Amino acid sequence: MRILFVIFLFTVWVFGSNIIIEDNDISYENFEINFYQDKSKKLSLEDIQNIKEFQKVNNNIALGKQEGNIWLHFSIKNSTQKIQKRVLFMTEPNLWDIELFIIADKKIISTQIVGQNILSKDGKIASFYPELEINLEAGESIDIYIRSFSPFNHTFKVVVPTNKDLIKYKILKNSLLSLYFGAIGALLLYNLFIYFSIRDKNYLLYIGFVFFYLLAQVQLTTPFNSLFTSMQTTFAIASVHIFWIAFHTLFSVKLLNIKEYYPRLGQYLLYTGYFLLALSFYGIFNLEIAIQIIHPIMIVLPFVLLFTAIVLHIKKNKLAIFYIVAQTLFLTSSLIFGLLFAGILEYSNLTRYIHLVGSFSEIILFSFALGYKTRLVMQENQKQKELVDEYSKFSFLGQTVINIYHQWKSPVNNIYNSINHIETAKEFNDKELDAIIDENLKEIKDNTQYLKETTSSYLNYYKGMDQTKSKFNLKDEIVQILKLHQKEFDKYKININLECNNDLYLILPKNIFTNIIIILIENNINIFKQRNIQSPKIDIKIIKINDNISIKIHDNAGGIVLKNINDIFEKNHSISNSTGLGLFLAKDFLIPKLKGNLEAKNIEDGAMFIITL
Amino acid sequence: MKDLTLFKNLNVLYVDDDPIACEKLKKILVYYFSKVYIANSAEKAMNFYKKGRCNLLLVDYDMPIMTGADFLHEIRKTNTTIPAVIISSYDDKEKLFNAIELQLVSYLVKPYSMDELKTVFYKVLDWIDDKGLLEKVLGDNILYNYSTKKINNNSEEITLSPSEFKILEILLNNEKRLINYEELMDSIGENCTHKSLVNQMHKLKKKIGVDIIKNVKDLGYILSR
Repeated sequence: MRILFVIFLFTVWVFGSNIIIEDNDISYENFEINFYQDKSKKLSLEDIQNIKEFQKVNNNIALGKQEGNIWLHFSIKNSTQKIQKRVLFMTEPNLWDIELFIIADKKIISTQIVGQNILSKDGKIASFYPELEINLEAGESIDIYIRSFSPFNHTFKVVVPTNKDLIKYKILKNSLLSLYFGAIGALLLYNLFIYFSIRDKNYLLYIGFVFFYLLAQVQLTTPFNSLFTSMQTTFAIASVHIFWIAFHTLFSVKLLNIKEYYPRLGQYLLYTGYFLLALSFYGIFNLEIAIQIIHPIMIVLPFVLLFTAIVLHIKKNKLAIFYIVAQTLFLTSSLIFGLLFAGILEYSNLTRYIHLVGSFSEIILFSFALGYKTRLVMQENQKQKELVDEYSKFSFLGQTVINIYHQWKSPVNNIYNSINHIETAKEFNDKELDAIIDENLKEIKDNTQYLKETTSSYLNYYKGMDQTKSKFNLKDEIVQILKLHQKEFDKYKININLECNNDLYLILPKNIFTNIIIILIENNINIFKQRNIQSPKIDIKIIKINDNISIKIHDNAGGIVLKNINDIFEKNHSISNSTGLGLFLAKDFLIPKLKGNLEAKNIEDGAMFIITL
Repeated sequence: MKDLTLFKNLNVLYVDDDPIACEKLKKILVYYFSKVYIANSAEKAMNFYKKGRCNLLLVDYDMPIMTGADFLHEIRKTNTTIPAVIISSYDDKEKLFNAIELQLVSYLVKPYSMDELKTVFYKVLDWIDDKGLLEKVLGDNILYNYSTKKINNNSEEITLSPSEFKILEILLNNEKRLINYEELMDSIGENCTHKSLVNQMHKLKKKIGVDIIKNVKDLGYILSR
């Protein structure tokens, strides 16, 4: 058997025909090809035709980087009684410099030159599939020579299909690619939509990453470059690959919150991302240098990110698992693709297209991760909001207690003094004891009455934190609040100037409104106390503009001395004698319930708080 | 010595921006002190302090324009010995901290009971004793200082012998009560005779300058101012 086989091989060798057409409708997708490497790049077609010492390879070419010209040769023989039509076709649209020759009877019948490095007759880049028609008379035999030159790699498949099969192949490939790019495009639009609805910067990075990936793959997998007329343009476009990696890096850092776990590493990775972004722009003008710089980064960076993700997963980062799976799939498929281009793996549909599957998995997993992250953030926000709500209720209770305490100070002191007076008079056997007791009892009664009144009015304000709307007269309400603080106004000789029309009404949850005013007035009093202002005054001006009511509360206490005036509404900005939450609650908790606006300004010699409702 | 009636020799100045509180506490203070001055602001209080004879300062902390602490700070520049008590509405630490350098006798938190007020009074007594500030009025511009054991007559200092101030202190501490000869003689020393007691008493009366010690024939002496 073995001997027979050797003899068979020998006959093939002698006859020199790699493909013998024996039937009408057969496409040839697996056959042997003679291979010769001309390192000098000087040999002409004639020289090659005279060479006998070809190597045998199959038609799946994956040679990696090779010096000089690669020459491929095979012959086709028509052993049928009919004319046979076939197509000489190569499966890659973006080869560098390819020349096809069909030779019969030592004469060149047809020839074609294509490649990214070649300009075709119409002035455009000849970056399309190498394709030549073959017509064979009955019994005719032809020789096919292919010259391939590339500074990068030689990766393609040579086939000799029937026209029908080629069309089928092209349709299938185009539809699969369209489906692929369409799916990515849809994902892109979907995330763009989400970005515009929630304005989360993570989405923007994701969109950048997917967009540049899409461009890079279109350039790599389709005859995209043949749309352009100059090499520079395609070079500039090739920088999208670097953009893609830059966005990938930035997105990874943000998605995994690396900075939260490892601030320094996170910062370095961010810097790397920014550097890559800068490099991408540089790549538009000088791709070659950019590529040289990016190569070492590209080898290390994905593994650093993957390793970080694994560590973060151990540290209970919920998103890390998405990242690990995505990155593993991507890296594995990219590795296969890389090995193919390096000439280590054989060319096949699997090795050639698996990275598309890997990348797609990555893109879609990242999208899931992003959605999941948004959900986590929203849950967190919801929790936070509930917490603030709960907290606010407590601090209102606290604030109310403090308010009552302020109002109670002097009456309670009076009551004590009355008791002390009676006690002392008794101790000293005062003859007027009866009169003293009567006098003090009256005072105790009066003061107790006052305690009762202040408590109930404050508790009314507190109790009414519900949101039932009621119509009330604005001026009356403000006068009421001012009355509550009359003692303090008297004590510090604060001059109150209220400017408000009698006929202004509001329909709002009343107590929420009054609490805001109380907070602002108390803030004023506290500032006057703190800064020891000589002739303190508060101007309250209420005006109606169209449908809006604007309440301006202006003091002369010197104004807000913070660098950023609106920091006064921050939670930790506290004024003594209070819970320190007043303004924060007013701005972040109360005002939103009224759908209004509260802002602070420095005007003249003091601060002005403006409520717009 | 620990007798609040000693306050009857002292004047107190109470400063509080709340006029009602001022009036009320004054009614209580008059039982204990010789004179009670009240002021509604630190400025007015400063006037009282400069004009009158003040032996104790009760100061409300929380006052507009010039706080009690500021006021005491001003006082302490010229007088480091006068007892001072801060009365405040809150018992917060920051204010206590500010008050350290004011060398307060004590700190009183409003509202306070009579017991708390008395506790402070006793502390004031201790302070007065420690600083040698306790004085008794013997007559117009005539003071006896327990610590220096000297009589101050119109700023002129008169030294007393040990027997003399012992007699005077017994009589002062038992004002308007008859002290018999034996008791006085025992306090001076074992070898004191009736004759030497009368002798000492004569010298003492001369040094006091006003006739506040009366003799009750055959029984003893009585001091009444």
